Amino acid sequence: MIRPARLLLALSGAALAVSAALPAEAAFSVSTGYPRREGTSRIFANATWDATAANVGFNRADCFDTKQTVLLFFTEVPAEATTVEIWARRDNTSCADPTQRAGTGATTPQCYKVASWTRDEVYSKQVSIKPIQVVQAIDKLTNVEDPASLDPATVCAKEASMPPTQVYLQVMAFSGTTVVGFTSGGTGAAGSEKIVALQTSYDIAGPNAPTGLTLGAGNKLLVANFSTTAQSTSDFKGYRAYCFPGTSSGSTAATKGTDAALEVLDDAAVDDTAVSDSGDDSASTATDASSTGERAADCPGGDPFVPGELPGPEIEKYACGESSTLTGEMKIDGLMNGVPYAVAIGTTDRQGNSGPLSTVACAMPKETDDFYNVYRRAGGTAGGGWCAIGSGAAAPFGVAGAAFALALAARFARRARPRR
Amino acid sequence: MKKSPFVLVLALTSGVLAWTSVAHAQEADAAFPKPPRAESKFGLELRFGPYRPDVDSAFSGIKPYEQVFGDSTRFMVGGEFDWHPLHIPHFGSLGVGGLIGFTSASGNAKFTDGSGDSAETTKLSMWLLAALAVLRVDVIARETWIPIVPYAKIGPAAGLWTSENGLGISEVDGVLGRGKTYGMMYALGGMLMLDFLDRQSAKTFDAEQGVRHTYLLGEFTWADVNGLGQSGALRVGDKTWTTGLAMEF
Repeated sequence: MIRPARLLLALSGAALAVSAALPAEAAFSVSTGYPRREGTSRIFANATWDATAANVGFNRADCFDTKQTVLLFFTEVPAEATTVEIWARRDNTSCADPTQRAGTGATTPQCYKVASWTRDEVYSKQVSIKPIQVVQAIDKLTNVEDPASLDPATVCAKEASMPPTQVYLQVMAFSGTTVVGFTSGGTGAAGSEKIVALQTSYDIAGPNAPTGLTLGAGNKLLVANFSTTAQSTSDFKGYRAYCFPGTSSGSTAATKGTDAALEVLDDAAVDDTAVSDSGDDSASTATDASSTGERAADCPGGDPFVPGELPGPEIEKYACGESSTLTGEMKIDGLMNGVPYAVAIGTTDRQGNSGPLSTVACAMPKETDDFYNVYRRAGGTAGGGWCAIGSGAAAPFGVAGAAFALALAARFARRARPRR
Repeated sequence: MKKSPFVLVLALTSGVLAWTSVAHAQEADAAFPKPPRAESKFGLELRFGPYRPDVDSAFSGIKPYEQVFGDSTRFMVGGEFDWHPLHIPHFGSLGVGGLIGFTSASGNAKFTDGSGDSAETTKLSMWLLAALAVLRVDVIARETWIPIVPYAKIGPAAGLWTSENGLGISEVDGVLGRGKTYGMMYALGGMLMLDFLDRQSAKTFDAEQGVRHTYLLGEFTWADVNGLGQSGALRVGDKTWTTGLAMEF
């Protein structure tokens, strides 16, 4: 028999604007506030979960950000409750059954504790949980007993690519080991018992790195070719190129995607030998450095890229292009001719995670002759745009074309008019 | 010239089929006279054929097009819509039409320092537009067993071309690599009426979709789009063959 006591939970944004007690039967609302990215609430309840949607759960950055919290405000807690706990599992089966939380015999527990408080700690007070607690419970399959002891470097690290994974956070009040708190707004459990379940997801690893990176050069651009399985990742978003510039074969250089390009060049430990062969055909050929981090002779020295490692914030300033290509070819433009670049390609997913970097390849953009260059140099003079219909000696043709079109339209209009 | 046996068989078969069908149709018409149908007035063509803009003919020494794009065959795809308001009994029809076609050639731009091909793509693309007078001699297909409709077309044309490189539209000394070239277009060809392949389907197609006849066309196309009334225009014309499908409504 269900006891009349109910657990009401209200989640709100950082300001906790909703502080008034909710009606006893009301479901909580979690539609505002909690970690947002690109304007989308990243946690929600009683809504359809979509693995391909963007920004709907915890990502790697959330996990590492120990200052980020989910705020909880309990307006009513059963008087007989001694503790209030949050448990996580990957489906919405109730965690009220003790075997789901502890497991007996060969049964593997399906629920893992995220947080626990005494009644006095939560009743009419604000409490919080951190994304790292959720990751520890649902990814490492370990109960969180002491949130302060969690080490992001251990909990949040994940090598292999993963898709967004659904998580249900179930909030329960306990009297000893007996679950006493339910709400009518939740889901699951037998009979009319309903556990409060907050639906969210987590994804703490980006897609796999591209392999076999090669570069080709063009006029103020590089063309990267690579192979990858990243596109098959369910939430693959695109590729991101990072370009580290060497010194110009001239005297100055700058690079797209670098806010302080010259500063970057100054900071770089430039290998003078790297550009000694500029001007020969080395720039036109792809140079693929090995995955051990070795660089080819024509690579600018001192690049910060580590193949296989996740791109950290320190290389953000080298971001030089993005693409959602599915062909394994990416054009990186806005570069400087005569400047050798070391390039690495990373991947991103829709949850905002970056995948590990590819190997590093190097090439140098150089001036090219496109068709129009060749044509003009040969003495051709045409060009300048399409402009309006007809000009100069050619005007009669444009006028004739326009007149023809008008006559045709008039003819059709006349035929379409109803006859009396 | 030695003719393929297959061609002969096909011609004979189609001729017999066409004659048989006409005979049957006449018998049926005699038994159940039908009200005369209006002549078909519209035609739609889907066209395809090799096309190589005649850019290099303006130069005596260097050949810019060949130098950049080589000599491999490129194609033009297009469509044409015709309106035939004037029908000449026991001869054919006279009408006007609008043609649009597209062709593009691309290749790797070369480094200016002579170090070979770059990874950058350069491209020349062109839209060919033409307003045509169209003469169709359908008396042969109508009044004999030969299902062929010869035709001729003539009219002003324009080529809207764009040169691109890896960064977008080409530009040299502030001049955009995009322009228009005027000229004339001439075409002479024939259409093979395909109804004989499956007369029942052809009738169904007519009854349900309003398509009177379907044709396979072959045409000699002379796009003399080399700058008529212009000086220094990019020559984008060509003399070529075109094939395609045509439908008559």
